[in-house]
Amino acid sequence: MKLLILTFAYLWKDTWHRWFEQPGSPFAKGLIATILTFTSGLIIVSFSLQEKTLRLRLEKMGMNNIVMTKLVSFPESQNLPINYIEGYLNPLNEYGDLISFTQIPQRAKKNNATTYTVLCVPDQTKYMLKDYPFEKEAFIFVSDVIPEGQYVSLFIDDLKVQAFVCKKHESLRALGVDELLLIPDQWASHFAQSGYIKKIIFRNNEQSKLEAITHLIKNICNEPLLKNLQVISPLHLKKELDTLMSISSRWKYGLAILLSVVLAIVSGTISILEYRQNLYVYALFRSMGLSSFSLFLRHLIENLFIANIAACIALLTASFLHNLFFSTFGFSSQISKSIPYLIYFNHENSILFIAVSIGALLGGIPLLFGLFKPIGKILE
Amino acid sequence: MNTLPGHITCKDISYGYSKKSLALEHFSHEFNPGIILLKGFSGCGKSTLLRLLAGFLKPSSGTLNTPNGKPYRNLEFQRNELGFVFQQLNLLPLASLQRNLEIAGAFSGLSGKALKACIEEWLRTLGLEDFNNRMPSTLSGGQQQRAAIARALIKSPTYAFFDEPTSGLDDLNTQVIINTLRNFSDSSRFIIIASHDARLEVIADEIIDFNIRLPLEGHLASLV
Repeated sequence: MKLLILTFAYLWKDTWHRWFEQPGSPFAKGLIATILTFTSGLIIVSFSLQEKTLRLRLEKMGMNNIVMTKLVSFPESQNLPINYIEGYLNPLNEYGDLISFTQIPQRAKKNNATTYTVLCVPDQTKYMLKDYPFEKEAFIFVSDVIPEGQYVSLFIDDLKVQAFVCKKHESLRALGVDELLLIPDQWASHFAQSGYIKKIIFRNNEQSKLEAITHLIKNICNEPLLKNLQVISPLHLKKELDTLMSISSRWKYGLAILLSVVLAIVSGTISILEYRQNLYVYALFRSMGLSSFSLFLRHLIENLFIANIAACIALLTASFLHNLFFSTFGFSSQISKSIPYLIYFNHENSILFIAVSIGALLGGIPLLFGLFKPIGKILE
Repeated sequence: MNTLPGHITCKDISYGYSKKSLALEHFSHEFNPGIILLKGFSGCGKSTLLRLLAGFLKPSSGTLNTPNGKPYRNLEFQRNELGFVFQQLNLLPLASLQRNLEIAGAFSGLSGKALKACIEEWLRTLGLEDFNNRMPSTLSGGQQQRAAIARALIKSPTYAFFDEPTSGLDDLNTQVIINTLRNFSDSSRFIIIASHDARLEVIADEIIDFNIRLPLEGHLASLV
């Protein structure tokens, strides 16, 4: 034990001495590991956030909902009946419920200038949203933020309305909008003359037939008047998610291999440069009977220490700069702000620690050859 | 090849630092316990022989055995039975004199009071008790030489090898070293000294003269 403590203490002192004498070597090892881990960490986290965004969309949408969106611009908005799209989609009623809305171009404004999407609600949709008091209230403000049961004042253009606040209905989550104003369908003819967006949620009652339904919708979309009907189905999202996960996995392993290889080359090159300096002290200890393996192990620990500290610094820095980066890249604040530390130090990024460790271990190999050089050729 | 109990046996050993020339060529000898002086001119191979005997080099050819087997890469031998003083001394530069002795002693399994007592004894014997906290670089040449000897002898090795232990030392320092080696010697220890210092001949039980083995000295003499 005494030997272990004395040897460890001396070699540690020697290491510090070497680092202070030639700070370039540990600095270069650390800097390369930091830069590579930082970049790889951000890339992996960006994939992770994209994945999370998709999962959230999928969750919001629900596995049995299909959302269809169509922009109807002038002159079609005037020439065609406002519910012409629903007419084409009637065959879908056999499989589930259609909940349609007409989004008008105007947005509702609050006093504080915040604006909200405005949706006109046809009668058949009112029936689907029977939790809402449409018979009493003409305007319903859907919000999970403002307590329900109270009124809020809103403006649509110059028109002031008092809207009754209700919690978001499960079916409306598929629209992916946080807060919105529901108004009677009759208003659509007034506000939607210059164009509107038809939003239709198909609530599928037979989940097993999702593929057949998606196919049917695709066929319906071939109608000339339904050109550009955008269909977002959970299948589509699921496929997107699978593709993303496969790309993310390839990137993750690719980055890990790159990180290992580059770090191994850098650490290996520096090890060769440090070779002479280390070899003298190591030969002194070997002459007293310390095994080459122990000394090699010490060298590996040093490399591992530098590489892992550098990786920690890189990921901490990335987590500090997280919001700056990801708000710039256009991620929603809800996603990008979700506990950065945990995002950077989760199992996804543990592969980076494994990669830097492998790189550091491989980088120690050149010294291994030196440790088999006869002591008598080193010490005089 | 069998090694007689209490003998180091070299049979026809050769060694070269490069493939072109050999530093030691076809050396055979049976070493008995006692003080053995290897003398000869520079480059005659006496330091190489010491490193071979210590297991720091592996013979290119021939066989070398100690009573406990082949020394080359024998860690137990190097930890417990070998004390070696290099020509360049090679004290651990970042450790105090005391710590240098502690580390060497710990390698042979000494610890606690026994180690402390050994350190005190050797520091006293070699007149270094006032320098125990000093770093090697702050010691004089003679003090460093004595410190290296203390480090080699602290484990009371059976095999103590010295490469030029008195080179460049004054008579007083040399006398301290001579007395130390004489007192350390006993019937079971192999003290092998490689040196061209004639002052050491007085304590040698056996002198192996490399000048006789090799005719090169005559050639060197003709250059003077």
